[in-house]
Amino acid sequence: MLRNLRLSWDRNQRKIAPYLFVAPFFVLFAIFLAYPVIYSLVLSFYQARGLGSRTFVGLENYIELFLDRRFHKAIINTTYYAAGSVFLLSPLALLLALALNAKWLKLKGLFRVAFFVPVITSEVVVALMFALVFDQDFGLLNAGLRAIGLSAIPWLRSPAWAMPSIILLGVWIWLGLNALYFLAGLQNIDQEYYEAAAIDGANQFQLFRYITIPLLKPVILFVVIQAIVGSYQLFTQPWVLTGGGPQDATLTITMYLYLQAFRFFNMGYASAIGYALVVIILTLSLIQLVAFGTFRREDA
Amino acid sequence: MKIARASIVWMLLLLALCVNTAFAQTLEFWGFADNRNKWYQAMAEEFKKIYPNVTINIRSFPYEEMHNRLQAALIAGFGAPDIADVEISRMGQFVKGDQVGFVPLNDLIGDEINNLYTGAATAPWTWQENIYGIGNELNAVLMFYRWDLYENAGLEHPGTTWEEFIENGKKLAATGVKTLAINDQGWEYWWIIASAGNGFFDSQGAVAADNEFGRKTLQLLYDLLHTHEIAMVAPLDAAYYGAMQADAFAVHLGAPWYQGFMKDNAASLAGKWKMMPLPVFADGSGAPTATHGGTGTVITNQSRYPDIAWEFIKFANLTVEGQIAAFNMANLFPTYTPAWTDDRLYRTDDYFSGQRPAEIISQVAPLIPPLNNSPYWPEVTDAFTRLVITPVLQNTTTIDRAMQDFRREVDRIMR
Repeated sequence: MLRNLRLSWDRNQRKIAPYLFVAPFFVLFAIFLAYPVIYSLVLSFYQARGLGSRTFVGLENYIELFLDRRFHKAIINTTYYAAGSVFLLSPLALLLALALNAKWLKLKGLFRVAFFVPVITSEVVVALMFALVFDQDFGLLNAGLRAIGLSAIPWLRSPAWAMPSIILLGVWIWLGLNALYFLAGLQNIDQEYYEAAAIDGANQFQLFRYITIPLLKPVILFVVIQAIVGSYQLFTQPWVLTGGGPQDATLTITMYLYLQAFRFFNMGYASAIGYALVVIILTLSLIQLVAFGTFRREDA
Repeated sequence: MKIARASIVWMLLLLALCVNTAFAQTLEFWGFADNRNKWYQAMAEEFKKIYPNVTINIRSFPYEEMHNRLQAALIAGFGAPDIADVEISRMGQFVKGDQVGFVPLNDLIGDEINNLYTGAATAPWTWQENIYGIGNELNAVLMFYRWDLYENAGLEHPGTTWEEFIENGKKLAATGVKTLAINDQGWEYWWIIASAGNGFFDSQGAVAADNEFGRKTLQLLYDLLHTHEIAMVAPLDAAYYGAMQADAFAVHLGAPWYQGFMKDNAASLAGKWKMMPLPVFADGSGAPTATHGGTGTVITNQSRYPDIAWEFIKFANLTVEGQIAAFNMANLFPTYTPAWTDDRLYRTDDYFSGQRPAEIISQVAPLIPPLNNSPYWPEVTDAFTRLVITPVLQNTTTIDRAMQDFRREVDRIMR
């Protein structure tokens, strides 16, 4: 028996070995990713509150979600943050990359490291530090505002200011990384295009508008998609700084999912939120890809 | 011959392994509070002297992570520890389904129930008459006040009624010091005062936060902030202690565990604090104390050794020595009443100007209003903060309107 097995192994070793080598990834993927992904889809059709039995409710969780005003608020808040990432963070990162790429800039290495440091700092530590920066009475930001004769802003305390504060923090953290992407893109643009255009009499703005922007398009697409996908997964900073408050002003979709799953022990509903998030991110990414012509056939 | 010798060696090894597993028992304990974990660690070492074959492995996790891991392990049906600490506001979620992942302790506690201050020891961890945990913290809230700031305003203390508290607050405000710092993003102060009128839930599990006493309490907090202007909005997190040390306010309402926080974060104020019971309303309503916070120890139904787990919990929580150790190591005033007569409990505290905290705590403890827990505690307290506390204290809605919004949300949550 053993001998037969041995012979069979010797014969088929070459065929089997590659599968064995790649097996660890697929086994781990199946257990830790594929199974939870499929199981949470199943769970989203059940009412599963607390431990014990669960009841099949069909699409009820999704219908409730559709009518849930807190979920609507979470979508609006998250979209607000995503808009901040796309329309504030991304242009700032591009400007920073242009500055860091400029020939006249000294100490380039130092600046590049300085802007990148927030990315490798723990988000929880950053959020705790910014709780002090944003404090209404003792915070650094308001001390600055008072020093120039402006009145203090209730950064994290007022529903109107809380999300702009989180966006500001997001800019501080992610500016460096996004600038790095743009910087890589800028350095890949062949200098000859600029030289040729300059000979034809193009000014700095025209160089930027007609050479830099079109050639940076793949990087811009990447940065914007990254920013949107990342924004829709926002959790740590608002969780540490405001816990979703005041009055749900910083409640994000993932935070609502977390609250339903781990605070309210409502796993079925939380799973439905998870899948709603998948649909939202997928839709937005597809719109992006279509808008940037990714699916357009080159020969068409 | 060689094979026979090897076989004997293997058999002996196997036998040793069997003997070892038959006698050595390792129990997992999960906790999240450093002070409690240190105390349980000390207790585990003492326990080993009596049960040399038992090892209690104390594992510490951050607060969120521990409760989440526990929840995940209970859902999965494996991986849970034998014993765990569950914080009071997280207990509700664990009794939500038609099964509870903890061992009922009623029979194990037996007659010892008569030696427990049940309002804090068992009530928060009880659901449908099953006691699932033992809490060893008698978290009787007291009023801590800065006697030096009151003396500076020509006053002795903040007052014994809320009306006197307001009048004294106005005199204190004339010296540039606010009385209280009220958090407009949390329900703690509302709950401390309103628990005399049931707090969040009545004994039947129905939401009671919007009853007459709840509204009266909310009106009091609003008046302190906006009408009398003797309170300030509390700075968040570490900045709170900054304001405390800057003499911005003079009173903090807190449970005994809060004393440790004050000593750690506002050490410079040693000797400037005193404590007294909470004010009540002039018409006699209210309570001079409340319970705030707390942690209970549970045995999970995945434990292979629930009997030993209980012996350990009993050893730490239902003995005078165990409770004196908790008091000394973690500032936890015992719920085990036989410890109340022990002189070691009545030491003076220099941070509180030489007062004896235990004297005041044991004096008010019988007056703690009962705490009624509910599986909907997390949702309801969350809704109360965002729909009532913040908008009312930020003056963006009326109490009536906020309470209506809250009731609507409660009906939605609990349907």
